[in-house]
Amino acid sequence: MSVRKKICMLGGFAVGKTSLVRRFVSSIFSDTYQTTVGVHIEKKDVQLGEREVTLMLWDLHGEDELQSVRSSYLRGSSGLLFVADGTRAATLDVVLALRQRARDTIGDVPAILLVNKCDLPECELDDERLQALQDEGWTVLRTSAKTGEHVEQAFVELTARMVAD
Amino acid sequence: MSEPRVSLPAGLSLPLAEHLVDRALAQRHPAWIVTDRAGRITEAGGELAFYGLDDLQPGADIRSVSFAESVFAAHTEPLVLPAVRLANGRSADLLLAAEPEALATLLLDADPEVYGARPYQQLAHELRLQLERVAATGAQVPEQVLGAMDAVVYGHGDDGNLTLLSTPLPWLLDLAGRHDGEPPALSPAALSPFLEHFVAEAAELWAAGQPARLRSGPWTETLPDGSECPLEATAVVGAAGARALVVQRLAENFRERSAFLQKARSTVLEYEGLRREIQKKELLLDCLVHDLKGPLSVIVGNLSLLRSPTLDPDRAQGLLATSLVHARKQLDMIRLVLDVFSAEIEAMEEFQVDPATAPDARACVEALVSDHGPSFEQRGVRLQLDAPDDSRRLPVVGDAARLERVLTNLLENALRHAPRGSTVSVGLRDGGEEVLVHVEDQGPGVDPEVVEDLFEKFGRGRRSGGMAGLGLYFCRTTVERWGGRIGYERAHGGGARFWCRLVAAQPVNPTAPRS
Repeated sequence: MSVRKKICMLGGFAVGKTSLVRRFVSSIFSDTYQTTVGVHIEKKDVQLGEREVTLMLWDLHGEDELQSVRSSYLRGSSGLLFVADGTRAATLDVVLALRQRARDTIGDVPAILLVNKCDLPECELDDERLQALQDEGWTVLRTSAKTGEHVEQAFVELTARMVAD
Repeated sequence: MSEPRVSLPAGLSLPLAEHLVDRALAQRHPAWIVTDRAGRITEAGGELAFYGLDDLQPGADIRSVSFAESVFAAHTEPLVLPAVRLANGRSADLLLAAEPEALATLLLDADPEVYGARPYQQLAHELRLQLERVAATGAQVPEQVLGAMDAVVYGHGDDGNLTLLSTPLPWLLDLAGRHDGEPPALSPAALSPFLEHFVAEAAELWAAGQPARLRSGPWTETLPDGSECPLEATAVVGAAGARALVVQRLAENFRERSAFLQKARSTVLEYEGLRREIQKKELLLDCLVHDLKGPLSVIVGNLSLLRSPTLDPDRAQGLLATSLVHARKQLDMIRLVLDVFSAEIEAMEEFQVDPATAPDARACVEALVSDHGPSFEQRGVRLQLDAPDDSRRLPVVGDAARLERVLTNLLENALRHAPRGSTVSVGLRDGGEEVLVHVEDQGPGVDPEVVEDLFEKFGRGRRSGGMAGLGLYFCRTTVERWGGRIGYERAHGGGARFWCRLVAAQPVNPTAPRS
């Protein structure tokens, strides 16, 4: 029997949350930036050994001064995927703020930080800074929704942790 | 006899109640009283005198009548209190209905002589049917309004269930999915996980029962035909305690909002991109100043020495020669900078693809080896050509002058790192559709940590500081624009090996499609 788990995608705007979900769910990617307004939910079944897990992927709009993520959206989440744009260091600050808000709302749930757009050469988030986050307990993966690098791995890894919890 | 309680349909409005009086119950001495929430009568009419209530005029207080408590107890679902005994001895059926701002009471004669022999149950049944019929007619008005607003309404019952009160709109049915022979599941939980989540959030508001409103914020559902359906839900508790869930399809406002956010965020991204570009340009400017200043200092110093009256001719020649070397070095740097930026700007620059006019890679490589041989020798480095003994032309897609600049860059790069006594070899191979050129030295090779961004602008190349990265960046952008590739690998002996795969210029087949 399949179990249903909710995952929220959290991060600043234009970091690639929707692209990551689309890459994972539909294996498609578009270079055109289309901002998300509100919430979009996608569903994906994942097979983990003998267990089938139905992931409800809550693709939340990006956090900025124009749109703030409602804490209530996070309730019921079994896992969180925080997304930063590797070419925009400031998006990591947004992630850290969202992480704190998530902790205040739903406590500690399995989470992974995705440093997206790793296919682009203009990297602003260097290894030292990411290593420091890993030392603090973060799981960090460099991903590319464009090439698919580490995308499947990120979702499956988080799912495995949620199921194990 | 038990007293039947006839519940009227939810949402019965005051005009409807009046309509009821006019249409169905005129023969029963109808009278009505409307008060505000404080109990002050705002309207009174009909045969109030028949019930001894003719002193109830607008402005009077409803609390003076015996059934006042029932009036205030009226809830959102109107009900009938049958055969209430009044002060003047008559009995009346009281129809009570509450609206957010008003309480309505209808009085209908319930005296036995008026009823005649008809059983009260029968009358109650007929009354209910009449009311429902009238309510259905009147409900068309809010129904039409809801349709125009692309919204549906669910009523929240005491049992916590949500019941669709309005006509399901097409998008709602699409969302529910059409199943042959089976009614679509229209409950919020069945429709959407988002709505299910929101209903759980709104339960607290509905349970509190205080007038309030909670909006879900927009979310988007994908309909079976692949189109996107933006929606927003609002949980409401009305002034009279009515609880409802309104789900509205967002249209114009949502599009405007989306367009605004799209524009605003795109602008921010463009701004950030420009800011980064400016930072790079500033860095470039620093590099230029630094690199151009060095040779110029030497030249200025030498010129100052030349003014000395005691300077011997040999020494003067030496100073002039040194100045000339540095002046040329400066010229090379300026040319390189121009190359880099023209490579970016002149993206559509013409280059040769016709074998007859395309640059000959063999001739270019041989000329470079010949020309640079002496300068290599001066540094104690041997420059050798590693190419099959062949005199055939090797035309490649590109531009002769720029190809020479690309290969010169690779040669100069090798010379900078080649140890005295070592050899730099320039290879040339005909690969059919490609021509492979490589430059290999016996130096320390490239630090593995910087290999990844070796060909990027300001990539941390083998030189530290100054113009580092610009030369190889120029090589890559130029070769790639011609459809070729450039790369680095560690040489077998441990040195650096830079290679270019240039596209061989092929005769054009006039009948073949051209990309």
